[in-house]
Amino acid sequence: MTVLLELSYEVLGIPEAEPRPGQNPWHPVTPVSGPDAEECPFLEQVGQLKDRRDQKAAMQALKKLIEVAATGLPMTRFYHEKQCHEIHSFQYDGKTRRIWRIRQGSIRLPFYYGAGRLLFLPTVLVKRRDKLTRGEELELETHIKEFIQAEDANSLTVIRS
Amino acid sequence: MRTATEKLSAMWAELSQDPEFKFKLKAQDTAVTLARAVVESGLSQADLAKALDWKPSRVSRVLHGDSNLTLRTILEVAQACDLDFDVILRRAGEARAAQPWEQGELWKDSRKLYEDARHTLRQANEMLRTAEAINNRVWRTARTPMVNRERSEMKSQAYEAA
Repeated sequence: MTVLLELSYEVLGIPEAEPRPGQNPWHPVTPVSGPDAEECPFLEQVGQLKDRRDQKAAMQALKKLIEVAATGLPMTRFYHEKQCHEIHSFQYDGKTRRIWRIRQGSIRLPFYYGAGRLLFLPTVLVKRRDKLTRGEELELETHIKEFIQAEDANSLTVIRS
Repeated sequence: MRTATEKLSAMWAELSQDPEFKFKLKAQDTAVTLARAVVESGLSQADLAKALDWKPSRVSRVLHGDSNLTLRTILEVAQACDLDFDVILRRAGEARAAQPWEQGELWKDSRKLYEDARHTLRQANEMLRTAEAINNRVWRTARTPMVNRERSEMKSQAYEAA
């Protein structure tokens, strides 16, 4: 079973009322691990950002992502093309899989559109250059293949705060 | 996860001390609201650019950025969407006022709350009636001499059945 955590203001420690969900909201999710689903590499990555500019950019990007996801409207209506676009695609299981990413300062949030309106965010990248390295591409592909396998096996569980 | 959230919460509290960060978030929220208004009014960005005689790059900056928009800019976008705007203040941490496109959802929420309240009231009334019946039965039993108690019990059951 693959356990995913839905990102919310509460999970990110933002002391504000959650945005009102519209019709068919998107659900930004990230994997959790450990026996009690207590470890979340994504949140830990954000928490470990050292540079103050990166911290601000990450929190600002995540806050906007949660707000925009709640609307259920096409994500691209809220970002200009340089902020949110497809960065990589690969073939898997006979289909072309597309990875998108949101950019805020040096922070990159790659995501994949999953079934059930899930926005799967496997990792946070801090990049001074926009292009992904081959290593980063392969790592993202691995995360997304695992997600697709769990999706196909119907073994995804989403924890909501 | 709790530890990670606590760490992020502390990070947020520290970042929020920075007025520039707070301003960027507020500016970003404003842009998201305006972008939503444009979508909800059925306009494309090209339509908006045409209606306001703006360059597409300006539309993008206004709807997608975190810059210091003027009241005039906000008013122009609102009017192009056939909307108006007010400045509505609220206490920190409270939910913001509903936007016009959220009224329908708000109505549904209110309707559901009303239905839930009616259901709870019906349940409470049923519980009250049961409690009264039990109370009456106990008092009747307590007043009846031991010799007549069995007969009284039977009467009581017949009364409740009726």
